[in-house]
Amino acid sequence: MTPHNSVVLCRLLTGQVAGYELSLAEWNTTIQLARSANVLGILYHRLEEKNGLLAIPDVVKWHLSSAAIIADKYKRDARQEVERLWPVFHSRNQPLILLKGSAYVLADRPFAKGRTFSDIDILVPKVDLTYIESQLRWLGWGSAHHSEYDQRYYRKWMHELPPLVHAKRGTVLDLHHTILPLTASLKPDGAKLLSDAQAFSDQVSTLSPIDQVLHTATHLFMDSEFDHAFRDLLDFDGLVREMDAGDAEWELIVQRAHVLDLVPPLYYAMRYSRLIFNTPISEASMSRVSGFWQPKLGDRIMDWLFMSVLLPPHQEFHSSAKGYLSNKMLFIRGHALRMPLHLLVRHLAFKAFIAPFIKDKKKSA
Amino acid sequence: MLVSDFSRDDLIRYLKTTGIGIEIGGFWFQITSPIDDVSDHIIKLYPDAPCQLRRVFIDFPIEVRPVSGLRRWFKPLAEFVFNGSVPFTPLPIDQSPALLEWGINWCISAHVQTHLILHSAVVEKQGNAVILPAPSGSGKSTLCTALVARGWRLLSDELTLIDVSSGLVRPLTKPISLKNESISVIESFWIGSVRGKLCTDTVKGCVTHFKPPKDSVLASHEMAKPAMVIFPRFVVDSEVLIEPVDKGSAFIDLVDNAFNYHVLGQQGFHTLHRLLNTVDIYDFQYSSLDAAIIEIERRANDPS
Repeated sequence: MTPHNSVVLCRLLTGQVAGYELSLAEWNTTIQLARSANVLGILYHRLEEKNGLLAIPDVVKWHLSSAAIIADKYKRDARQEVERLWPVFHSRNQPLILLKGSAYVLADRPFAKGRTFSDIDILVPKVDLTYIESQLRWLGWGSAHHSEYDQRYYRKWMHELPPLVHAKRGTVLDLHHTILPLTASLKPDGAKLLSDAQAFSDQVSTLSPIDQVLHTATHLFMDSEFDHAFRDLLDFDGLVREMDAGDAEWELIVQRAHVLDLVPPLYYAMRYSRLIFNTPISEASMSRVSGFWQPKLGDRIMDWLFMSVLLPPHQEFHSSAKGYLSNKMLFIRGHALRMPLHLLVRHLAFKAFIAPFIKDKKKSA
Repeated sequence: MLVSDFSRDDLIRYLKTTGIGIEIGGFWFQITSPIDDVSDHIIKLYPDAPCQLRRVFIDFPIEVRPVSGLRRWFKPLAEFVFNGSVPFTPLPIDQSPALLEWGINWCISAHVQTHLILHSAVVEKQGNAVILPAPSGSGKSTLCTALVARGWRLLSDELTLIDVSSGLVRPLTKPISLKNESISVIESFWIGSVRGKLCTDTVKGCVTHFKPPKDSVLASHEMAKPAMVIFPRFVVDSEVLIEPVDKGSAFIDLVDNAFNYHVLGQQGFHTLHRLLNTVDIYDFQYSSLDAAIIEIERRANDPS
C-alpha cells in the first residue's frame, strides 16, 4: 500500500492517532481533506468521544465544531421531515424504511454522529410507489425532473423515482423500490430487503444490520460517481465495527450477499475498507468472499483505479492525468454495470444529442 | 508583514504561483490568482492586511482563475475555487474582483458557525458598535461608508459576526462594496477615498470596492460591544426620521436577516435574544448623509 496524504485523516477517524499528535501543518492538510470528503462533522464527534478536542489548537477547532453544528441542523431537519412523512406510510400499513445517511443519523448510530446527507432515502414496496407518490404530492413534494425523457428513464429503468423536492423547504426525497437499477447486471430482490427490515423507533425502520452493510457496499461500488466515496466507505467501516463481526458473522454476510446477488460490491468494500481504514476483517473472511468472486482484471488494476477515487478529493489529484483517467474509466464502468450496452448507448445518445435541443425549445417557447 | 511590505512584482508572482496568505478578519485566506485585475485589487485595497508567504495553517484556500477550455477565447469567464471545488457559477472575467470579494464573504457565511451572522453593516465609535441591518438597496452600505469616512471604525459593510459565547461583534474588516449611484455619492462625500476597478453589468449592477481606513484594518482583532441596531432606509428628499422599534418585531426582522439563525438552533435564539436585550433599536429614514450621521452620533452619545 503506497502512502497517501489522507493517512493521517484515516487514522484520526479510526482512533489510531490522537489529535494532540498532529502538527499544525498536518492539521492544515487534514482539515482541507476532511472538508472535501464531507467528514469534518464526523471527525469532530470522533475526537470528542475520546476527549481529544481539548488538545487541538483553537484555530483548528472551530472548523470542526462549526461542521458539527451544521450536521446537527441536518439531523433536526430530517427528524421533522420524518414526523410529517410517517403517517403517509402508516396509513398504508407500511413502515417508513429509511436508507443510508438519514437512517444512520436518526437511529443515533455512534459511527454516524456528525454525518450530513444530501437527501432522505426511503425504501417502498414497488406496488405502493404510485400511492405513496400521490400522497406526498398533497404534502408539497413534487418532481424536480420535468422532462418526459427523465421521467421515463427513472420509472422504467431505475431503482428509484425521480427525486422529489419539497416546494417550500427544498428537502429532497428519493423513493427507492430496490437498491440497484432494474437494468443492472446484478439483480438484488427488493422484496427480500423489505421483509427483513427492522424498526428502530415507533415510526421508523431501516434495513437489517447485514443488509445495511451490503447496501452501503452496493451504493458505493456499483455507482459511476465517487463524490461521496470516502464517506460511504467510512460508513461501511463504521457499520462493520459496530457489528463487531467475527468470522461467523462474516459467513452470514457473505451468504446473504450471495442470495441477493451482491458479492462483487461486498468484495470491493471489504478490500478497500481494510486497506484504507484498517477495518478488522480477517484473512479467513476475505478468502470466504473471494471464493465466490474476484475482479476479472485482478486486484492490482482495480486498486490503481479505485484507490485514487476513494480517497478524499484534493486539488493536485484532480488536475493529474491519473485522477482524470481513473475517474473517466470508473464512470464508464459504473454505467456499464447499471445498464446493458444497447440501453446505455441509447441513453447517452439521447442525453448528448437530443436533450439539449428539447431544453432550448422550452426556453424559447 | 503587511501586503504593502511586498513589492508589487513579488506579490503578483506569488499570487500567480504558490498563492499568498492574507488575514481578513482573523481568518487566513491562501489566495491564488493569475488574473491581473485580482492582483491589482489586492495591492490597491488590501495594503494594510497582514500577509504571510508560508502560513502553516490556512482557514480558506481560494483561487480565482479563468475557466479553461474554449471559453478562454470567447467571452472568457472566471471561477471561484474553494478547497478544490467551485461553489458558484463563473462570472465574466472582468468581474473577477467582485467574484473574489463575494467568494470571501461566502467562505465565512457558509462555514463559520461560532458566530451568529447577520447580513448587515457594523461600525464602532468609542466602544459602541452600531449594527445596520437592511435588505440590499436600502442604503446600508452607503450609510456605513459615510460613517467610516467621518471617523467611525469599520467592522464590516456586509457581515456582522456576533460571537455566540460573548455576544460581542467580531470585526471582518475588508474592502467596502458599493454599487450604482452610491459610488459617485461616496466619491464626492469621502475626499481621499481609494476605490478599485468598476465591475460593470454584474447581477447587482455596477459594483466597486473602497479601501477601508488603515486604523480599522489594524484594529481588526478588537471585538466591539453592540450598542444600537438601526434599520436604515434611504428615501429621496426625506427628513431624518428616527423611531424606536419594539424588540419582538426587531427579533423577527433579524431572524430573516441572519444567514445562520436556523443552523445555530437554540444558540441562535439565545444570541439574538441577548443582543436585543443590550441594544437600542431604531427605524431610521434619511436622505442627507450629513444629517444622518449627526443623528446617529447624537443617539450614540446619549441613548434614550
